[in-house]
Amino acid sequence: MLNCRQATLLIERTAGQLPRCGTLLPLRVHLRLCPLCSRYEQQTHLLARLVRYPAGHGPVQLREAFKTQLREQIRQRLRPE
Amino acid sequence: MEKQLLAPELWVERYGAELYGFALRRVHTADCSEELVQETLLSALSALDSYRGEASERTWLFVILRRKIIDHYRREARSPLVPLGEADEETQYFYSENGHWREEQYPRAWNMPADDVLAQQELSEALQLCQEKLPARHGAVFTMRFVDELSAEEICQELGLTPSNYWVLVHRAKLHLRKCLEKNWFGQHRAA
Repeated sequence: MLNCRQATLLIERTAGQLPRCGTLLPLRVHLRLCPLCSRYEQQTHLLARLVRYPAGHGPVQLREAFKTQLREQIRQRLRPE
Repeated sequence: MEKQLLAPELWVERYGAELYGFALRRVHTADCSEELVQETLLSALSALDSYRGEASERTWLFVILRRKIIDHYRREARSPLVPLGEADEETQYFYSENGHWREEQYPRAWNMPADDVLAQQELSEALQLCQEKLPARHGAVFTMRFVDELSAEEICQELGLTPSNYWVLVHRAKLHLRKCLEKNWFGQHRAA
């Protein structure tokens, strides 16, 4: 019988993989019996989605001073020796 | 196919903000992202001769930036090198005797903002802050897996980890992150 620590580790290991025959049975059994780990499982998938698709931020801008500095560096390097 | 030409004098205007945004999602601090953009453009300049014009200028610059970001993770992940297993972080969450959740760490129900755009944006920001708080190695592994969706094999190879260390880090990163978010965001929004 898996404990919660092992079950949550296994949830991470198997996320996004096709279940291989037999290997997931102990996890499925644990999740049927343990509402805490079931909740962990749902939330951990949700977290992965949130990280992958963060809610809309506008496009970022470069600081003007940084842009000037970069342009200057590029200009200097391009100048023929 | 026609060979693409490079126009370094226009890089800052054309790609600067986009490169910066890409870096910022992966390394989180503005300083570090600026540094990576700068390193990328300067390396590209010194590699002008190696550009064969097969990919677009933009793609080529992003390849260089990705490489720089991985090098950055690698540096971060190396220091400070705490051997895994010594500081057994999981016992913060689970009893060491039987591996059950500690009562104070029970995962709580989360109220998700369904259609509230502003709340979703706040949630994303809270998540970003929590990601920044992860220890360096956890953060590197987490970003490579969940933002860049690299395979476990690639990440282990880039960071010199064994597969079992890798999974331990993913697990720990997730435990820390969900706790941080629960405390700083869902905790505040539960009462509302």
